[in-house]
Amino acid sequence: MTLANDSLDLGRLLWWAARPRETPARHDDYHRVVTRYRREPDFAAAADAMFTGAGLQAVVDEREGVIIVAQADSPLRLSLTELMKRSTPHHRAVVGAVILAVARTAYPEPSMLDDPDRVAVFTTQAVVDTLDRAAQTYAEASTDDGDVDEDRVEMWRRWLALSEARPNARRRSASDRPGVVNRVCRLIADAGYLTARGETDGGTWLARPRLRHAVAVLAADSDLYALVNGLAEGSADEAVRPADDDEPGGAP
Amino acid sequence: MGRVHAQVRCPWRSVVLPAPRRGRGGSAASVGASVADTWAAANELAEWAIAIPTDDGSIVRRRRALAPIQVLTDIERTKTSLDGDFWARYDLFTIALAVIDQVALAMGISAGRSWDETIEYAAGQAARQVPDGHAAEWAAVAERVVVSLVTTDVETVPYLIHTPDGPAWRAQRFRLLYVHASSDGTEHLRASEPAINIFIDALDLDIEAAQVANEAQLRALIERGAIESAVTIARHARYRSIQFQERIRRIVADTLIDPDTHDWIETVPALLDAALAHVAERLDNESMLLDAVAEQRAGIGDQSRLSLTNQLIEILRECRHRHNELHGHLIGARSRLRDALDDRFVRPYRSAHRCSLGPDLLEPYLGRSTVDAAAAAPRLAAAVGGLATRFWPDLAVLVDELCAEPRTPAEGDPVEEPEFADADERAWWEPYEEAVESVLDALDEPVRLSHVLARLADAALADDAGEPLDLDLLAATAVHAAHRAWAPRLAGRGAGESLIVGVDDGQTIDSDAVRSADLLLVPVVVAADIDAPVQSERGPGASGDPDLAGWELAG
Repeated sequence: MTLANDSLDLGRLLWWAARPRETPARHDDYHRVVTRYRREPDFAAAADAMFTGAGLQAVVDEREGVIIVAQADSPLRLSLTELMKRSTPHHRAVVGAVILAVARTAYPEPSMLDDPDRVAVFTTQAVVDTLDRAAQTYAEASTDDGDVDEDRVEMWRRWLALSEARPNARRRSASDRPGVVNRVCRLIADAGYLTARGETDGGTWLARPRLRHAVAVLAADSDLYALVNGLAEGSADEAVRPADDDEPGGAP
Repeated sequence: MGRVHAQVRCPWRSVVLPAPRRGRGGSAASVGASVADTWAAANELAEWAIAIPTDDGSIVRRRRALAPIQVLTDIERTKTSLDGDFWARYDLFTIALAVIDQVALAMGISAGRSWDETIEYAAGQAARQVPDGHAAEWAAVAERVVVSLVTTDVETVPYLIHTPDGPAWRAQRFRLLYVHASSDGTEHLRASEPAINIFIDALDLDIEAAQVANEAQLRALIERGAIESAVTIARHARYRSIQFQERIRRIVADTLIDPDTHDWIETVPALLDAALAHVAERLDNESMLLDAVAEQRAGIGDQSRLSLTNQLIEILRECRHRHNELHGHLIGARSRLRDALDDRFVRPYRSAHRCSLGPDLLEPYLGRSTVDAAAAAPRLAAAVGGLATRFWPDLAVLVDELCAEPRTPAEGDPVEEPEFADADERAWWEPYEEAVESVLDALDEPVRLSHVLARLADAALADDAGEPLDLDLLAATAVHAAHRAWAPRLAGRGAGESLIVGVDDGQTIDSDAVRSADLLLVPVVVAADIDAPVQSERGPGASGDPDLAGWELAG
């Protein structure tokens, strides 16, 4: 095995990584490089190093093939501006909540992330309900109005500020709650993780088994955890949590 | 079941029911009637009192077994809130039952019905229920039923169980149908154990014992020649085989996912051994039953009985086939478990700590301020966006590709429908047209175009995303709309319809942005039906006083 040969196969791995709808079972070459990754630790290490250098994390699964999870700073990542072109950064932050809600709806229990056969089916309405429920918990615990400063308005207010779906609407809006969820789901579908299956309840989505790898990477991302929970350096202001154990205003 | 006279002592929360009278136990009427006198003579009858706590084992089992029924009822009950007025004509409950049945019968160890096949089947059933409906209706009904059955596993049903420390709440997460990915990358639907329970009117039973009992029943019925009853029992036996198959498949799959959750040194091998022995015994018995039926068939002359016998043989053969398949699956299970274990030792397993998606990520995320969340959002989008950057080929190739004819898929290739840019998003000019339309529609007296322009400028309208509308564009849209009203199309309008007619009386607007005739916009009501295109010498575009005959001013 020469260096050039190895590099060629690394390139093939990247080639297949960019085609998320294909599976190793359908292509001999795909199957070959995936098997090589799984069997040859040296090749796997070289591939991992290459992907890491590009700001990517690769999960190689025998059945699902290569699943790429991009780092937040990788130039090869999908950026939020591509998803929502005509919106302010404030509106874009809602997308993060929707992605988490999709993951939560597809895998309501942590153990489901380990089930290679799990194909979750969920509807747009279910994702909207998940977010509504979570936001409502905050709304009930909160006694005052949002901050005047746009930057400091909590995310649950942002979600609740989106209009609810109009029943019997002639045309779907892309900016109400189901509209935003559908937009995000379509993005995840473009990345090969979801398949659209009909229009019931605003849209029916089938999560391909490879989604669990991406979600597992998210769940294991300690930086993300720190950011979201207000533990990251530089995020000075405390997270505003619903007062579940303290009376409002009665904190010691 | 009918007569339970033991007193159950229960220190915890309990429901105390008066004892049913001896001999009439179980009937609701007798319980109701005895309430008054039982309580009057409570002391005497103390030893008769039954206390059934809600966390009693048998109640818990029934609660769990009845949960799927709740889902089916909900499908039927919630249909009134759906879009469309055709739902009342369909019975979603029976379609749901039929779908589960179809899916269950098609299940093997690794196969099942595909999503599209299932939708097609359900649509066929909808068409049977309402033959004069539309195909789109049937498809909507079919999709609604299948989606409702498949998405149930997001729901949990809480119930109370009895523990040594008193009653405790447990959540049951169940599913009726689920999508299963097979090794070749295809997906198909399968029915779960609780779903199959619906078909064998069993609330909670040991499958293995029930199978043995079924066979005994079958043998007795076949010996007596009661073929009709035997067919019914054989159907049940078939469901039990499917259910058993599903349970074994689940246990093996769970063990493969995480060998640590099961004791693979003792429990799992014992379970596999027991399952193997059970299946081997079933196979023997089914062969004997088949022989017995075949013997009987030789002596049957009656045509209908003969066809029933054939049906029975077919079902028995299918059961045997399933057990054969299961037998093969069980024999292979051990080596697959060993492989999974090897794999587990080779690579670090779940070495990183995973936080839970709901409480650790989603909920705190919603509590963050916008600016903090905006810092985390790109990270999330990057994680699920895959490899997003695409490189353009050079221009010559690109032009060729864009102009190429669509590729005809070869045999066996998936047919990929061309995807066009999303039409979901509203075109940018639509908010403008809507704004102008709403102002014009609200007119109840003649108004000049210049006034309309001023009104629009003052209204400070915004589009869907909350961005203010551009005033120049708004003015242009209004001028265009007004000039369309100057030459309105009248053909095909009926009496009583109202519309806006623009009248040019010679005045003009000449501002920085707009130079045009200052039309007088007059709301009118059509007085008579206009069938043919209006034959007018002046033509609809003529200026000056339009012919107002046939119109009357509104307001």
